[in-house]
Amino acid sequence: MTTYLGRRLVATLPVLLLVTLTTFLLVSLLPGDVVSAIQAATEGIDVEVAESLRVQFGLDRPLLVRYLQWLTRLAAGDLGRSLLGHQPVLGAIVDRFPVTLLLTAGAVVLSLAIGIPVGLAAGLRPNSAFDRVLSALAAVGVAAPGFWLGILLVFLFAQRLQWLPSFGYRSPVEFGLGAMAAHMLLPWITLATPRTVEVVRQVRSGMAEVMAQEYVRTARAKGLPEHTVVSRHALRNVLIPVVTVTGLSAGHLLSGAVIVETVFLLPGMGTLAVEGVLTRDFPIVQGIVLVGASATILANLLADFAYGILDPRIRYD
Amino acid sequence: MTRNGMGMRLVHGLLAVLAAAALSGSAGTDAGAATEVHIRIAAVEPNIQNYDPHKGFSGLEHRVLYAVFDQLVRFDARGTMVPGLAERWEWTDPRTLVLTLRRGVRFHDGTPFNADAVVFNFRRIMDPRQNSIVRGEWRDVEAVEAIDDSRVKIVLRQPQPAFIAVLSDRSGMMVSPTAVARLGDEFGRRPVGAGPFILRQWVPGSHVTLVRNPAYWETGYPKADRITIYQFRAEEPAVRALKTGAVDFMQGVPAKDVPWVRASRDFTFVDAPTISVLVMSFNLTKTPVDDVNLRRAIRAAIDRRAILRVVYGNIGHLSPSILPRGFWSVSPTLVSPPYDPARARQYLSQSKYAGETLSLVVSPDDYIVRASQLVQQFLGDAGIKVEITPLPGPEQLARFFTRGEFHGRIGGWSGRPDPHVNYFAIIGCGGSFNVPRPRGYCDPRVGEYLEQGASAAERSQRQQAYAGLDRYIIDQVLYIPLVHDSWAAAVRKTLTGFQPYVFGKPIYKELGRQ
Repeated sequence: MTTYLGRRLVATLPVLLLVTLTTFLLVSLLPGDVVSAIQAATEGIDVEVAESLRVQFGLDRPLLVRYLQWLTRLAAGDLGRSLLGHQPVLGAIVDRFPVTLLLTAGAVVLSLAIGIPVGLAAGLRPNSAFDRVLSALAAVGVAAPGFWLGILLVFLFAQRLQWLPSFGYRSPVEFGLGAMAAHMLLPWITLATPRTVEVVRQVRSGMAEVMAQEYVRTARAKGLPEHTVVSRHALRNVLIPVVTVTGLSAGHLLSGAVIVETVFLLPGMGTLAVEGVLTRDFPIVQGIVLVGASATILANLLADFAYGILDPRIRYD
Repeated sequence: MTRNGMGMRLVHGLLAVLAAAALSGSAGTDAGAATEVHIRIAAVEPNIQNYDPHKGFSGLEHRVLYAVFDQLVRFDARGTMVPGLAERWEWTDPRTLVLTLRRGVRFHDGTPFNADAVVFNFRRIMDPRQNSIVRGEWRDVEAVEAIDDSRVKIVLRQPQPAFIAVLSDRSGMMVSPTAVARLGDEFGRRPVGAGPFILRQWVPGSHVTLVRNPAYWETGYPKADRITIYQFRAEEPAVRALKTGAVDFMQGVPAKDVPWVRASRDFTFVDAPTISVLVMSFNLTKTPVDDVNLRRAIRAAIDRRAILRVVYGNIGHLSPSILPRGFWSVSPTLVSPPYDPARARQYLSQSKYAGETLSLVVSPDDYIVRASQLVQQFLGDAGIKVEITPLPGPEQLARFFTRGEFHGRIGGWSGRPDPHVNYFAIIGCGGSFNVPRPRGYCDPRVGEYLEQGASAAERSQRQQAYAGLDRYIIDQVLYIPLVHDSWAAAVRKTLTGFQPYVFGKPIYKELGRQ
């Protein structure tokens, strides 16, 4: 198992290299640089100062040299400093990551907590009225754009009913779990909705297939109660595609959810990334892409292990 | 216990936790001391990077900068320069400015505010290694020195009476030398000044918390104990914060939400003009817009009232000058020629326009694009073909300002408190908005008026100069001011002390509650 882990981790290195290099090149292809962003915002600064800033930021050096410099610093554990704010990139990311992590965790948990039971119920009664209503809802749920749903939810629950706050992040350490959850509930629902639909679909179609299998018939023939047949024998197999889908979602969300962060004013990594790209703040963008890619890879690794747990036939060595 | 059994239990358990958390959560506001005056502000500003006044670069930072740092001199509501951290200033000779500093002032970290601190600040700005954003303003400064503990001398290479205005903005904001030495590059994240508020907490991407500076020198200020500024990245969530009662103040309420504010029992709507303006400028060196008759035709063809109505929902102001009506330097008798399609056609026939398509670069802001499309329509109706290209700031810089690729631009000018800077930037020889850089369009008559305005000692003389300049600009159509931004502020009725300064930036120390 450890050798497998070792091999997987080693394999991530070229992926991360490729991802960061591609990002670096793409951002540098964008017209303008961080200095022109400053100039645009100040409506013109001294040309001398602008040039001097360019040199200070190392923008006068060739691309590959700059990338290699970034890489060398990275090897020493230094992600550099933001060009505009001068704060250490690692610090900026560490500040924002908990929010993104909480958003992701909540959305994933919610999607599983609702998706699995609902998918089960639908899968066990295929083509029933319940199943059909669900399919219709699912179509809406997956088609609804995130910002539309988010705004709708916040309008209803925060503005009209005033049951929940409309914006802001409350750290659980400072304000307690309750306040954190109240502020995160609408963002969680917004993010979880398309994912819940995905889970419901996977579970539903998986169930329909699995329940027709021979081993299920055997289990029933053994006289086992239906709920044991479902939970002990059928569910485990159905969960495998769910794990895949969840792993992908988690990786995606861990890179930041810009729209939800904007609508609900959450200081997550998504807005940091967008700001970084808009201002061509290289160190920030590189740092976030690195963290996002690593998180995605980690999520997929965890998904692979989950397979191993769910299906004893799958073994890694 | 089988793995699957555990799986289902896990799911049930999580559901329970979630339910408990949600139910026990408070949907309300944060706890604060009952008697504390806490004012909450919804601001729409993209992620501010740093609050070091000498190194930050966005005009949106000023709300907090004014609060945390004090300037050496300031502009009052009438646009008159009044003392700030500097009690007095005088030109001992045309090139030497002596500042007398306020005594007994300390920075938030206890460092004494004195001549050494001020000299430290000035030298920091002028130091090329610091790459201060405002270093250019100090280009003509030969020397700075402390005369004694409370007096500082600035020596310029040549007379520059307008220099003092520089000390009302970033260059005059004083940072604590001790804090800079201690924090280095981190200073921008943990700024220390001598202003009415101390920056208590800053969560980038969320909010800034300012608390009262108990040792602030100006008695009676600040009025509030705590100010929280929520820094939204878009207007929609900011307006919603207003509607849910979560904030007390918002500037720049979108036109569609203004009726709500007006009808609200809790808020007052303030529609006063600001110096921020949408302006149509030209590359005056590029044919055929170098022809004054074509420019006259263009202006006559545009119905500014229609733009104000259609694009801005009538929330905005029209002015014949780059500065709004009511500003001290704008002559009350100044008028710009009205919308007149017949005259437009007349001017057009007298011009060298031969049917070519004029290219306009515009800023990618929603209002600006729509206003530009309306302008395009008006000009099309007059027989002038126009093509619009939205480009973001950095590209505008490269292609329009530096290379002069387009015939003109429709974009914002955020405005400056001193009239000279506004005119100079747009049509002064070497101005930052004068296209193409570095010199742009150099008109000697403009230079004369600017010189007059900058060197005049009396306000009435300056008013004369700028009146003359404005009339010349109108006659030559050197640029066309389209719409001046309104404060469009929603102010909670229990909030006191708010004044809609024409400079367009709220002064937080004046805000209090009934």
